[in-house]
Amino acid sequence: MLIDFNASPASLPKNAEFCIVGSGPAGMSLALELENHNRSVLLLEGGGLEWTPESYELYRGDVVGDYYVGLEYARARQFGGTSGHWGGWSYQLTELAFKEKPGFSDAQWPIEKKDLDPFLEKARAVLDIKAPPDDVVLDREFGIKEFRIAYSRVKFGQRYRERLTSSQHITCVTGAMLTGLKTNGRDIVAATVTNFSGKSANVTAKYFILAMGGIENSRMLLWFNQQANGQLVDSRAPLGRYWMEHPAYQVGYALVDLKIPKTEYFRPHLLLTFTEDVFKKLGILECSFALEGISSTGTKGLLKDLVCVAPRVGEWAASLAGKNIVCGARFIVGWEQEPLWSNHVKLSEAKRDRFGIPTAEVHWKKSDRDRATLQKAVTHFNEFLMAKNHGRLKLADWVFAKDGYPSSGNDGVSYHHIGGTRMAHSVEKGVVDKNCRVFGKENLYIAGSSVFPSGGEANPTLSIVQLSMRLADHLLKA
Amino acid sequence: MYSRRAFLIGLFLFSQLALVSKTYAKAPARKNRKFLKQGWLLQEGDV
Repeated sequence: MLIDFNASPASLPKNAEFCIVGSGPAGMSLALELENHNRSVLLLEGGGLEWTPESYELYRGDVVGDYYVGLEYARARQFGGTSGHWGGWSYQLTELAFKEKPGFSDAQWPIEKKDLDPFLEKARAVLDIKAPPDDVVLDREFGIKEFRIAYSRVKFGQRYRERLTSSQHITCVTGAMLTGLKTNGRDIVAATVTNFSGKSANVTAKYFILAMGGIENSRMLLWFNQQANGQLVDSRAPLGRYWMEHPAYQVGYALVDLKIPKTEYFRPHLLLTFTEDVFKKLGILECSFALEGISSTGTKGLLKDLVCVAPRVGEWAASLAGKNIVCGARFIVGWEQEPLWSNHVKLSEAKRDRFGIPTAEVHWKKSDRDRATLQKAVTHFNEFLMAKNHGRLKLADWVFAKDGYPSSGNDGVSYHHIGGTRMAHSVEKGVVDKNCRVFGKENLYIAGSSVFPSGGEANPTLSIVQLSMRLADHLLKA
Repeated sequence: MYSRRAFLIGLFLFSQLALVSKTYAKAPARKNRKFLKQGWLLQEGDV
């Protein structure tokens, strides 16, 4: 059933077994899985069925530190959440993503890839994707690996609207902003929901699950905890801390004789990464490269440039171009950001939203190790291209500079909001345990990428849905 | 008989050598010194 809390506030159910806050990929996939087991779910969505200006206003916030896009553009506050404008790139986190990395002691997960693997097929079904072809090691000596991904076309709000409308077990309420969580110290006893007219109501549930997004989960917990005089989250927990993105930049162009495959929905691109051994040897964070094919005119322009600058290798490339086996490509590098305590979401001291809740202030800066990851990765990839005569790179000036990044448009931004309520073995290291339960609370859980302790190099949505499937499994057994 | 076999082996080796030389003649030399020139990452032998 779908209810608009703005239009009919009296129709809000007062009780449910599960109260899930947020109808994006994390919350909705959890609700759908619980429904599959005939469990009663109240799914609260702060936005409307579609994007609205007043909802968008609630996502305004500030970023302090490195360049970032406006927070109101970086997410979608609507039915189906940010899947309303996602790219659909879906692939799993690697085994390495979950492991402790030498020198990065805060990057370890309390679970392993094998803990998520049993939920992969269910997650793929939700995203309506098939398993992509296996990774291919292109070069053993340099540990260069091509990986393939699946492209989901599922916008949760569109794909699952009919199912939710006719659902017997899920009541989805739009226009229902979570504005309070009441605790008796051990449990959450009620949630307060408010509509745009300021009308409020309380909801009780056996379990409460926050799935509001990679910034809102932190912001709202910080606010509710402040309102509860610190009774909601243990003071030792790093709430709001270790916030991360997947920094990604076009660092230049490549002329290569590597095959750049066509894709169903995007420009042709070849996705490459390193083997685990190379990451360990270089002592860097996980990263990946996209060689995104450019037009034949663009390729010719690059060839002309290379012939002028370096005639000998230029002639070699031009001879291959005549046989259509050299491609010009945008060279894009993305990496997992170093998890740092100093990167965090905090409550603004000056600005509040229309409900009187402080807006988010995201403190975010890339570290020297982030820069070293970029530079060492590009250097190693270049060594491979040169040693194996696969081509040459033309890089932007800033890549090997000491500091500074491009700062316009989508530079450095993947719209992946990670961390803030990270999972860990102990409350000193995390906000939730390995089952996504808030430490010290019996019935409060968190879903979404805010629980990731590190970002890995994969786009997060498939892992988010896997984690929601795993959380459903845990809640059904509880 | 032996001279015919030696001739054929020699011919085979020569043809392989020619093939390898041709391949490497077209490709840039594998050398270690690397440098940046107008944004391009190059190595000795490229220019």
